[in-house]
Amino acid sequence: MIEAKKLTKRFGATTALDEISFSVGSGSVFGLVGSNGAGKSTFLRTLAGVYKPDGGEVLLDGAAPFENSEVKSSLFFISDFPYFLPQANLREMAGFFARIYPNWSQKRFDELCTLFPIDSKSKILNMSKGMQRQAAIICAIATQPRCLLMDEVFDGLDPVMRQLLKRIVSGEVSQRSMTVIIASHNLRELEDFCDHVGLFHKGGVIFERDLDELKLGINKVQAVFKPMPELSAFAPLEIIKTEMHGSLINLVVRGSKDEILSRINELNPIFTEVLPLTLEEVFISEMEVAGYDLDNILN
Amino acid sequence: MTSTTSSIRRRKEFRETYLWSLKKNRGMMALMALLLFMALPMILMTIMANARNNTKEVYTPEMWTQTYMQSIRSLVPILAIPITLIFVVVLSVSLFSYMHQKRSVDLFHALPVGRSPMLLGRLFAGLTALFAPILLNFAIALAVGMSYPVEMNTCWASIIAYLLWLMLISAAALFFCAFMAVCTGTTVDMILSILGVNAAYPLLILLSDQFAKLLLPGLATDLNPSSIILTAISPFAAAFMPYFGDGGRFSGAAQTVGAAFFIWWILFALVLLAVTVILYKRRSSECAESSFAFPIPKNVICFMITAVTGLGFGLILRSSSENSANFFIGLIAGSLAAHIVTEAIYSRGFKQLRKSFAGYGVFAAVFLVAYAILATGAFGYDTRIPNAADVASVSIDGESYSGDNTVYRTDGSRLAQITPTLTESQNIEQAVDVHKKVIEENKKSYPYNIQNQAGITYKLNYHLKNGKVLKRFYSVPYKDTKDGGYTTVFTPLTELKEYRESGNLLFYVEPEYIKSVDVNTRNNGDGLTVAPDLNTKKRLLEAMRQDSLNGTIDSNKVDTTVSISIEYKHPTELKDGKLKSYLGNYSGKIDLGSRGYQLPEKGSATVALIKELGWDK
Repeated sequence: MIEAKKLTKRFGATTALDEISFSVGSGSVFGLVGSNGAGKSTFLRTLAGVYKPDGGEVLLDGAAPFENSEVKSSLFFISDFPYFLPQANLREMAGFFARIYPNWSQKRFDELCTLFPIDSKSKILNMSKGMQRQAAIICAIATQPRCLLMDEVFDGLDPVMRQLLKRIVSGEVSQRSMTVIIASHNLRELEDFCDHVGLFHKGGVIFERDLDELKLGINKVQAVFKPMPELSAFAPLEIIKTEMHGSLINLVVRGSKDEILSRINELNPIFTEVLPLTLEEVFISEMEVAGYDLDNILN
Repeated sequence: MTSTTSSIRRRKEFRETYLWSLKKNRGMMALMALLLFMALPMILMTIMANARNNTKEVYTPEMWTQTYMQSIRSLVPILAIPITLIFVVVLSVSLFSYMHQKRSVDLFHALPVGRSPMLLGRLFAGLTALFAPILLNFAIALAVGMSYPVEMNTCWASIIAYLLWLMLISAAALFFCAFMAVCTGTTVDMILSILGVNAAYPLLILLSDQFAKLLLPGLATDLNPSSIILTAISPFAAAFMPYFGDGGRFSGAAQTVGAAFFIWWILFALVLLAVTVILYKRRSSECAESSFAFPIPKNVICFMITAVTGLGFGLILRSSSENSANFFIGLIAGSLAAHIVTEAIYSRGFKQLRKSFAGYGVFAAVFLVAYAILATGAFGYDTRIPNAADVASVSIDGESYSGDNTVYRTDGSRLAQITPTLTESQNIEQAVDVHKKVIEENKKSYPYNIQNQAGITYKLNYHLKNGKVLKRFYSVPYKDTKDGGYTTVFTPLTELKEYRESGNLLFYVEPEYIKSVDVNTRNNGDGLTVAPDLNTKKRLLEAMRQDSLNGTIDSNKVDTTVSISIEYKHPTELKDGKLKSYLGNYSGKIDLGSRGYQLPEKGSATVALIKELGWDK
């Protein structure tokens, strides 16, 4: 179990993490989403023990990872630009990690080398970005971590490799109850991979929730009215976003589908439809609620 | 139990880091071994192989030993030390540059390895990578010596001293580099800081010493190349100092440096190691790619470079016109320029320049305070003078008429310097009176200004009856005399019989020490070399001593027409007598080399003896 308790990290005058608190259960795949500079990578680095918190704490199974080798030996962090030893190939990197990680599995490493189309004897620095990510993933899984932290890991991977990554990671989660935290802007990929998501914005956590619950708890409503009721008529609904085009109204509303339908139908629409939001739409809606000026940015 | 487990884990982390770092740098270690081999054993083998061919004399074990030791004494500072120091920097970059990139920090600081074992594992791998080639090549150098008729029993101590010194100073240099790596945020800043401190610090000490001596009359600092303070925090500069600390004659590191130098560098290395580990544990990972992780080294380096350039430029401008105003113009211009350039380099631009002037203010304040203290006599330092009754002896190290009075060991290192010393009470009183006159003369320009140092220098060492020593150093004006010499306020002291007897090697040597005599009279063309018998040696020494007391032997006078050079036996075995007593009953052999003297045609007892013996024909 991972717990962040009032976790704070500052870089000079900038507060990257501002007293965030949430927890991630063991064996879950947790997606970290958020705007640029929201603090996702900072959170991962703090959890990996790279950064020392300036306040609060982050714990893995009750122990802080900073300067704690025992905790770190059950963690592996794949950063957004993975680093490899100069001139090293995948086998040499494996040798390096095998010395340091007590749970290193050479058998698993060899298996993964056959699964991924990678030449383990070529210099990693000469490989493409996607191939370097594959190398990092192979090493990470072979250390058999209890907790795998990945920052923008889909970046550079082709669709087949993304599916392979998801399959391998899901297998590790189901077999070993590995916990995964993955930060990404690729919400489409997270949507069918994560079971929980946390939305970061300006150093704070806007929410963290079960993904299904999240998607079911926020819906998009399209309805046609003649005549269009006053907006105050929709007030009982927890509306996040409203758009009106003549007699058509589009709403993003918090709540269950049945509850929303029943409220809308009370206003006698000509047509009504309730659709679940994609994760990307949820993200955008929540970001707007959080004050992200999308119209201004996009225009 | 938890503590034991943690300790075992830390040891394992250290071992794995050490082995991995060593493996990573094995190529560098092999290259260093090869270069050191070329620089030391290979050249040594060549010299030894050719030594016998270059002389027609019979090559005695003594000559083999001399060739062997002189070669090592030259090759170590000229080649072995520079190569080692270059590899210290290269290895440091290889071992510690991971701290300076965000990507590599993400990898290494996320590893299940504590910071202390991570740093120490790398440091000790670096030490191994340095020590292994050094030990290997010194072992080969010793083997080369043993394969020739070299008297190894006389060489061991010196070679081990060179080896230990090289190992110690390379370890200190490596720890220094690690310290700078931890304090800086980029590898470029790390290298600039290493170079900055190692160059700026000794220069700062030298220039501050020079500046203080120009300003405060009488200031005696005893600063010399072997002074610990000169290179106290600059291991790269300190590495060479023992070899250049003896007036151009190479000296054995162990003998010249002394135990204090070794002790200082052992302490320095240990303290630096501890500080580096503590700082690394506190270092924020996010400092990578910023200029500095800890601001203090940056401020210290900026201060040193600002001060060095300011003082240096000020002294250069002053030397061109002997004008104090020029010094201040140079000081301000040089220090400002250096401050701006240093800040621009460290901050990668001028954005922080305005803020940085607080640092310049510190330099200005320190300079003003130092100037005020020195110009007002440094709390009475300028007028402090002992009572003649409290003085046991006073030695006066000044311009000598009596040539080189240094006594060397057989390996070429300096054993002692014979200095004129006054012990008779009336002579001590006279010395104190002269000192008072010098102080009164200097007081005429109080508060002091930067003085013209063009004069004759004298160093007074008062050995007080309470065991303390009071030292003063003066540069005094002189007047030319008709006979080509000069007089100063100290001349009455230098003409005292006790001064002349106590400060001249001729009064210490025994006739048996003399091997041969070279005589050259200007009218007779080429010189004559004679090996006189013992009685003639005695007569010659007596005549020369008489000339010394009369002031006839004087290399500064222009009317000298006869030159005489005494070649002493090499090595010279000390007999019971004045010299052995002066050297504290030194039991070893000494080397006096040869000493030359200039004599006038008339009025010289020595020249009269030369003529009597027919050596002028």
